[in-house]
Amino acid sequence: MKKYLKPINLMELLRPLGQLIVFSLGSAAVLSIIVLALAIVLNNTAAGDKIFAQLKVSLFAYTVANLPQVLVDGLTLGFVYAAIALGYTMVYGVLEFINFAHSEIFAIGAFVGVEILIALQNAGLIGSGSSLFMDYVFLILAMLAGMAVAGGAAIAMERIAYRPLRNAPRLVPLISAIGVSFFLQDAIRLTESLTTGQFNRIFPTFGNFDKRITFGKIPMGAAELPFSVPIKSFIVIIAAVLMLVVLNYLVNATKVGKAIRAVAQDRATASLMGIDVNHIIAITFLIGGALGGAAGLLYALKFTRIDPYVGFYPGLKAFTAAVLGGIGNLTGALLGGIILGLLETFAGSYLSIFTMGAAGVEYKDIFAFAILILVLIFRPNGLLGENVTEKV
Amino acid sequence: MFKRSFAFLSLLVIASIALTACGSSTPATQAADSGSPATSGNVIKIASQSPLSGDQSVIGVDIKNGAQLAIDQLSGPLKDMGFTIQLAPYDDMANPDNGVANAKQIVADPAIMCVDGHYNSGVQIPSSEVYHSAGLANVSPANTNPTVTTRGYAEVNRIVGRDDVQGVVGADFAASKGVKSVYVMHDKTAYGQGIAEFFQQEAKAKGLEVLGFEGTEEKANFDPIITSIIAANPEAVYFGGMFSQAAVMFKQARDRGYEGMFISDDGFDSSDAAKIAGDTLMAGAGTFYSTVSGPAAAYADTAKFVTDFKAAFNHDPQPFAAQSYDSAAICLAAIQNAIKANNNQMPTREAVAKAVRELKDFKGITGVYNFNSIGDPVVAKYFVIQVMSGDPAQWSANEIVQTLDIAPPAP
Amino acid sequence: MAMLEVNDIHTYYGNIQALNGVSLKVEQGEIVTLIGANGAGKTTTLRTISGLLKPRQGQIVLEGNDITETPAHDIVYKRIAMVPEGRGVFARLTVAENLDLGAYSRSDRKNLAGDLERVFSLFPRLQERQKQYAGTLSGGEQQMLAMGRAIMSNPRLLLLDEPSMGLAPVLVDLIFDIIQQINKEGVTILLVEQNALMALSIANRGYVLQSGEILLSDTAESLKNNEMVQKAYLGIE
Ligand SMILES: Nc1ncnc2c1ncn2[C@@H]1O[C@H](COP(=O)(O)OP(=O)(O)O)[C@@H](O)[C@H]1O
Ligand SMILES: [Mg+2]
Repeated sequence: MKKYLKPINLMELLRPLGQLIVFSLGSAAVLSIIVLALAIVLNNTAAGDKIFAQLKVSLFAYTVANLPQVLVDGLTLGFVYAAIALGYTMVYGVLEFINFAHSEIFAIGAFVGVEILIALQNAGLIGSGSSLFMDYVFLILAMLAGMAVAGGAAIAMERIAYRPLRNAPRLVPLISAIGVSFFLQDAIRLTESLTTGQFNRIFPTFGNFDKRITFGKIPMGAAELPFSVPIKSFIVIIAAVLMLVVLNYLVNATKVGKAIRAVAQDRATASLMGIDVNHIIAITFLIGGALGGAAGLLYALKFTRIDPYVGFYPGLKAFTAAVLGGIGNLTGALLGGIILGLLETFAGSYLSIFTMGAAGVEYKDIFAFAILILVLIFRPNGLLGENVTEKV
Repeated sequence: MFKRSFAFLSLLVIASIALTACGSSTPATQAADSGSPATSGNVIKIASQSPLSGDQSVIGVDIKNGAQLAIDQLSGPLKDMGFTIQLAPYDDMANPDNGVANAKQIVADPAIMCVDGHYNSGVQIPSSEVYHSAGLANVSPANTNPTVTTRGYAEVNRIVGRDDVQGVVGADFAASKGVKSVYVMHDKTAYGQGIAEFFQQEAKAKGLEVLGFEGTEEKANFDPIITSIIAANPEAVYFGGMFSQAAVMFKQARDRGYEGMFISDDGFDSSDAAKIAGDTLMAGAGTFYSTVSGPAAAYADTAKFVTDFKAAFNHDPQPFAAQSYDSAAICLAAIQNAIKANNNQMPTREAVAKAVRELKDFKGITGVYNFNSIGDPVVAKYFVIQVMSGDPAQWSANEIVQTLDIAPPAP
Repeated sequence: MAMLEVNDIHTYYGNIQALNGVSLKVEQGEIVTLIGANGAGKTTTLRTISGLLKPRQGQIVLEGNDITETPAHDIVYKRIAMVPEGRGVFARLTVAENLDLGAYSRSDRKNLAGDLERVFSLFPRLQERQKQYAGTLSGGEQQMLAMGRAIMSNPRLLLLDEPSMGLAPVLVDLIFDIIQQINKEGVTILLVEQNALMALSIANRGYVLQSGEILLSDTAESLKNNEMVQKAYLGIE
């Protein structure tokens, strides 16, 4: 009896935290070592001379001094990617289908949240003079509203555009997903142009989110680099971690989670267990959509400006992260997101210096994707693709 | 099942297309041509083309009014020579299709000798193809896209500066403020990158150290590039491109503690920039952007024009009204010269176009004009504007802090 | 009233007809077996009963109630459980999680512990391997798991599709012993088998299916002695 009914499985709650720490530290360490090794190699070449001429520091010292900031920025970005990637991987795990419209679900979450916050600001409830406590309450409410609408939109999308095609050849729902993606982009744009008449929407300035916590100054030659992290980065990281922990618990330690995993493996047998497969698939879209919506608002909080096409690049990157980690695998989405965020930030921060300006920040995506292709050549199923244990 | 799926798919596609169509505005209605009655032997017409309807008509109507005022005030000498001068105003609706349709009507009217227009480069460029093929002179009061003149058409001229010179403006401004080092960014578009390259060239020529030159399509996450910028610690950061990227980047850089100067181009001239970046634009060494034209009051000799304009049309002239006055005045002067050269007979269009290009030191109200071999003014005025408030509602209160006279790039 | 009555069902895969008017009856407490060659339509019959396939024609009646239109996920709530052909264990779930899913339909959570103990006493192997992924079990263990999982739903009618398939003879004996044991505990059984001899030796009655039609139906004893059955299904010349 005691063995059978486990009220709260502490292990399941803590396990993703452990994984997060291991993945973050591991990826950060590997990339740091590679970059430092490169810096040592390039130190005595023209690249080193150039940086010395400019800033009076060695290339190695430059690399070291910038490392903490690069790591924090990369991890923050990685967590945003991971949160979006979870939506792709959940749906893929259950339906073996890539929901290309997930990027627009993300955009819907961002728009709903931002519009609510703008309305609150116009009503004078947030902004100058509001209490910090209420600022956070409203931020959370906006995020919950974004999650609800995004989750609802995902369910509607599944019901209308994917379910009728469930037994059609694989390419058909994929085309439908691309159609839905275009449709939602234009629906957002049309709604905005009819209501606010604006293309760009701006996350209101309120609360203490832009404030930075300074951890000190890092000496770089004669100069000092400030090392600080904005409060909003902490919010992004904490929210993403919470989402991961809750999702992991939901999938691995609850009845509905077990049903989701059963449907993912064998729909017919799952229905013999009494599982309503359509219902579970709808729940999967709801969860994926809500996560995407939350990620949308976090993205708007971190990067300020959104427009109806805001989902495209983060969506593409998150999809890539999901593939890199092993699509269908929740832990893989996490690992893929962290690695991609770090890779992109490392490339953006160091590529220009290491190549003496020949390949600058504009190549950060090309570089990140080249690494992805390399990984996939050696591990076609992604980094954790063969690890069956975690598959949804 | 299959039929249903495909029916659904087609529905989706149709709906998407419908939505797209709804979103893009401006229905194409017929151009409003106020053609004048059949011409007698000595009637000469100057056409104006500008948006007289639609959301840009506030400026477009005053382009027409500026031309009208010039004809009213300056066609005396031509009248004495026995010619009647009329304005033929056309509405291009800020739409290339309407502009081109109007242009065809314009070249079909033999009395029209010169065109004063347009407001949008996107309309001027295709429309002037028509003027060019008919040998008809065009003086543009407002079009700043380099292509307007770089095609090298003998008929096409402008009296404003060029987008790509803004890079030079920004660099000269930075140098004048004692800036010693800059980091240059652009958006990888023809417009933004072009400006940034000119900025870099001029900055080096003025002895500034260029610590980085980077292009990016990124619209949100500037963290990596800001890391490089902060490490390099330039005294100014230049962004060639639009506010939607520049303002986001400036804000993130300021948030990270960068205290230097921000400089951008007229793509930054939108109150949304203040909405995005707010008070961070005011912090540190401040935020500046260049533009190619200023309000009438920014020019030295426009006081009388402003008074006359108000008397005639009951409101203050909008931007480009004064430039339109000068464009029409240039047309009149060229026509006059061409008539003289033709023994006081009606000149050909080719002769008028040639006369425009050959004008020497034409003194208008917005400056003294000479055209180079491709129709750019040999010097044009550029303005550097400082952001004065983080409040989007106060955007129009931004102040001109520098006016520069700069030559276009060699043709 | 029969516990289960299948009346003249016609089931298709797309346009391919697999069942051409199958009728059969299972009485409370019986073991009934459905034998037939490969491709005869045995699996199709069970999948139709369990709601995974919809017959184009005919009814399925459970204790007087028509369940023809009941979707598969509601059938288990009528206390019918199926052990599918090829076991259908969830390979990437643990043994314990598979058993848990067997009890998905149960609202009487308080009885679950007892039922789990019952499964473990029938199949002690499963208790040892609780934490192991089902995909790592041997074929015999997977069959035990599939049966244990079905028992966890506390069925009154158990549909078994070729439980002996691919198993070593010792294991086949064990499985058939357990089928009889379950039956003695009050579960009615409809057993599909290609191993006709084994099936007929534990069943009360049997049906012979051929090309989607019922060829013969009789008591297990009579079928065993039927010359045609002996020739075609029991390998006796
Ligand atoms: N998924 C399917 N699609 C098409 N035909 C099928 C399918 N499954 C079975 N069949 C056909 O239906 C008939 C009955 O199959 P089945 O019920 O599996 O037979 P059995 O279980 O008696 O071996 C066979 O002819 C088989 O080829
Ligand atoms: Mg079979």
